[in-house]
Amino acid sequence: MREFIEIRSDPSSYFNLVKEMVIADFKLRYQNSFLGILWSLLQPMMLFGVLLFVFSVFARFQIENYAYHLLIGVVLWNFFSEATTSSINSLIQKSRLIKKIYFPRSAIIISSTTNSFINLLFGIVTLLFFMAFSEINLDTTLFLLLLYIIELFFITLGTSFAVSSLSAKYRDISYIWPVLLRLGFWLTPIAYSVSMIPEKYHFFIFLNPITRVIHYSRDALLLSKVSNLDGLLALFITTIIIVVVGFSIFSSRSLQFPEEL
Amino acid sequence: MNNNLAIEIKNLSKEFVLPHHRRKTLKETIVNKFHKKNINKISAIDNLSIDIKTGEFLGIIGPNGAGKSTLLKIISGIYLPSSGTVVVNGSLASFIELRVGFQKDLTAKDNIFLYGALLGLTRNEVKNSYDKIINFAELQRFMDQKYKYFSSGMQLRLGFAITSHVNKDILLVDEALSVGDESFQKKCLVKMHNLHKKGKTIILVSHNLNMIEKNCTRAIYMKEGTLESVGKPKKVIAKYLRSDNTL
Repeated sequence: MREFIEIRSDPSSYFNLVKEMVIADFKLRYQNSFLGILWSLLQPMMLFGVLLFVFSVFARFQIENYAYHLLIGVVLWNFFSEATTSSINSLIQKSRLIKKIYFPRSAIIISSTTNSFINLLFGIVTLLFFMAFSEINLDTTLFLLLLYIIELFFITLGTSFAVSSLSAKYRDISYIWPVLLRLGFWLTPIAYSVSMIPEKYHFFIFLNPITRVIHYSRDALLLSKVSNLDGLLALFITTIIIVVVGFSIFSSRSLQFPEEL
Repeated sequence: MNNNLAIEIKNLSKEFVLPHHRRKTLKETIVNKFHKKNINKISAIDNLSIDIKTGEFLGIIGPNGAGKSTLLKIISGIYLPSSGTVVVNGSLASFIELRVGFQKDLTAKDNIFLYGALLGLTRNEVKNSYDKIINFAELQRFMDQKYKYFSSGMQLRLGFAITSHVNKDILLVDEALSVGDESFQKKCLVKMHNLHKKGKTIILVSHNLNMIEKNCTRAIYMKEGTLESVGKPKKVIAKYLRSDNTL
């Protein structure tokens, strides 16, 4: 548990390291582009514009506000998918550093996930901007979204810990993971809604914590509905389990990184 | 634990599995579970024991592949020992290689904060020594330039300046110094002497025997992962030169 001891013995320098890495990544991301940081907003805007156009003009489903249904799912899922993928890449990118300097390795994953989370925030701002111009009434339940995305952050962080540290030993993971993400995209109600699934399968699809995050976020944003307490509790417990398991895997594997990467 | 010791190394061994024998993919792991091949290992450090006292200025010499860098990496916590123990009393900073830890597309200023954070400093601690760092590196005019436009001499100046100003108990310096010009190398040595006077422990790996002889309080000569000789720098260097000639 060296990673954990490291954080506890000197939390201020640990979080400073995370912060500096986030700042560095953020500065580097739009280095040579003309519009720079504006892309953080323009990118989701363009993506949403395309999706909204396609689904409000061409495809018509029975679900009310299908396009927004879809957007909420896509924004949240994209974060999970981008963050876990970049955690694998950032561990590989930083391999030289890992071999030459000792520092708490978990900072790499926390900072790369935080960076993707910043993107998610830009995405959500864009989404709310679009919704403000639609006929949907935004209620105060939209603040529940904050709770849901924080849980999503930790689910993603735990997953990133596990996936990235395993990929250091088994490089196959970096090839399998995108395929699993594809599969996950269709097993999670992103392009469809929970109500389209027969009741008897609900138990199974709700085992996936991201299903809960997306479902509850839709309730909060589109239906002004507060999710039930049981569900929230289940989500909370799963989140904690994922973080604890992910971090334990990472922390025991990380001792081998300098030799494996 | 003995408080007079900065680093205690007991029966340390380190073996590496040769890369082509390492299981890299799931398939290999599964296949290898069934028929075990003879795995080829190299021993980088072989049953090495040494106590390094607090406040020592220790020089390490030896031919390439003697295990010097591996030893430094084990001391700094990068590699785990295969067997034996290493106890480090106090905080530690190491300057092992140029460029590592720096982002080429960020300015020198941003890099100082990033590198400082990697060495375990808070932002305020870096801020407090910021002026000292750039004065030492003599790079005041270049702080807003991107790191990638720095020559290797300038990169060395920046890297060494940060590492030597972080105020840790133990400083490890690998061969990186050799790219600096004469005057900066001297400056680095003066700096290390000052740290040494303040009671810091310094370990310097170098092929510059003259430098080791003039500055170190003790030297070790490593060969094939073992200690060939330990003692006064002059004596150790003489022994190294004698055995080197027979090659």
